[in-house]
Amino acid sequence: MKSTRYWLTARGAGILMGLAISALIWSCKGGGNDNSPVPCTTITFDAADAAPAAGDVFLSATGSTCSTVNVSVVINNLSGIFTVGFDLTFPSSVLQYDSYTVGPLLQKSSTIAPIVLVTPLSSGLQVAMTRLLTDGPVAATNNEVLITFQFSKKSAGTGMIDFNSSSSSTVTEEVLDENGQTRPASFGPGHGGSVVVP
Amino acid sequence: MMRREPRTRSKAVSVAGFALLLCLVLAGPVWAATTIQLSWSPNTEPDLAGYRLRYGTSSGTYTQTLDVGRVTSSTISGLDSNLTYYFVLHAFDTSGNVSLPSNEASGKPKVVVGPAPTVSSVVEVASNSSYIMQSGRHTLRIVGTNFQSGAVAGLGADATAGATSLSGSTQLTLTVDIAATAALGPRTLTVTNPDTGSGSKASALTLVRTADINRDCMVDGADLNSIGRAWATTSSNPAYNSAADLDADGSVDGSDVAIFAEFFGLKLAVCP
Repeated sequence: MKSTRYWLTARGAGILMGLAISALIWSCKGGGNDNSPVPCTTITFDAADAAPAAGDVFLSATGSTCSTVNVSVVINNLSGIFTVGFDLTFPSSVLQYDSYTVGPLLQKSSTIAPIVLVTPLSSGLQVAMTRLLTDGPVAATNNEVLITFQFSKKSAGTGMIDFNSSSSSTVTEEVLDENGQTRPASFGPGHGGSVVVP
Repeated sequence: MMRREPRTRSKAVSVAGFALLLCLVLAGPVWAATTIQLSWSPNTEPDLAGYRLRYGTSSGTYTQTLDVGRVTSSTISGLDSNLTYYFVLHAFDTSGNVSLPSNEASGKPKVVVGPAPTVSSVVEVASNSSYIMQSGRHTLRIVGTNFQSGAVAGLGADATAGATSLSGSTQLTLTVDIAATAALGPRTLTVTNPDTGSGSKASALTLVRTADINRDCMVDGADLNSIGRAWATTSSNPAYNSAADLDADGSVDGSDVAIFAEFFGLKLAVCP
């Protein structure tokens, strides 16, 4: 029994030594480093409304990587904001909608989180957001972010992300106050932007 | 014309015997329409070509003619179960000679009731939800079993249902117009097959106030604005807006937003 145990131990040591040599050869192969950064080009979003005027509701890039881009809906200098409704189109062949983050604008001094509805469509988003009765309206001072959408790369290409003011739209682009009155907001044309996905 | 006066002598084609059987014949595995089966004794003439049935809903007056071939029975379908039918039979030979009519037989078809339909689920197609809004026209998809072509579906008072269309025997599509004053709350959906078999599902849909609160035919931000402005109010609160209380439970709250979310982004085919 004893001699048998010794034989097994010697054999195991041989196997371990072989594995160690193989690992050493593998790690040195080519002399490279697997953790080296792979160069890539980030997705770009070029906003069309470069000089927003008071009341403009427009799109702006708020961060991107090689595979993701964040596009924010921004409001410039507008008071009496209680409810905002709009729909967006995006190039669904190159981008995929992932998620949204509510911006600080509608959450100003709120005691109740605003209601946010985002309905993803095949190549668009339908959005409605409102503050609630007790919180009253808010004002955008300079540029303030209403909501940010996160998109990810689907394939290389270009396209437009913009508010949908076409006749096929089923959501009106509008900002309403706490009395249900329309505020003087402008959603374009020319308030979207072009996206390049490398 | 091939038809001649019927012969009355020994060479004449005659009808040896004629009997009417009121039978229920299942035409398929699902259901059978109202039918009458007729049978008679065969003629023996070697040049017999076939038989001709004539029938109608008044004795002695036969408005329908049916050549049934060289057979000794035939099933007549598509009859009205409320009427009595009268039949006579003629034989005709290869030369076109037609016999005198047989004795008249009469009978009333009976209705066969197939397996009763069952309703397992109902959705409002546009919202893909179990809510249906007051006012306007809505399309429903009804899933169940044993549906027949021509089935009638109903949602109760103030819901005018149109014709159904059938996909297989398990899905019906129905268009229904809901009155603006239709009572809110759960609705029972009933499906009645042409053979009178019937099935229903209680609380299949819940009738709610229209989410198009401002009645512009679109369910969008302006309607959500109405909910936001009346948020957390009850009927005793001056800010309460019953139009925003979509489920009419006396308060504007999360359940109303949940209903609104089902319809958000829809353009209504018929404005409320």
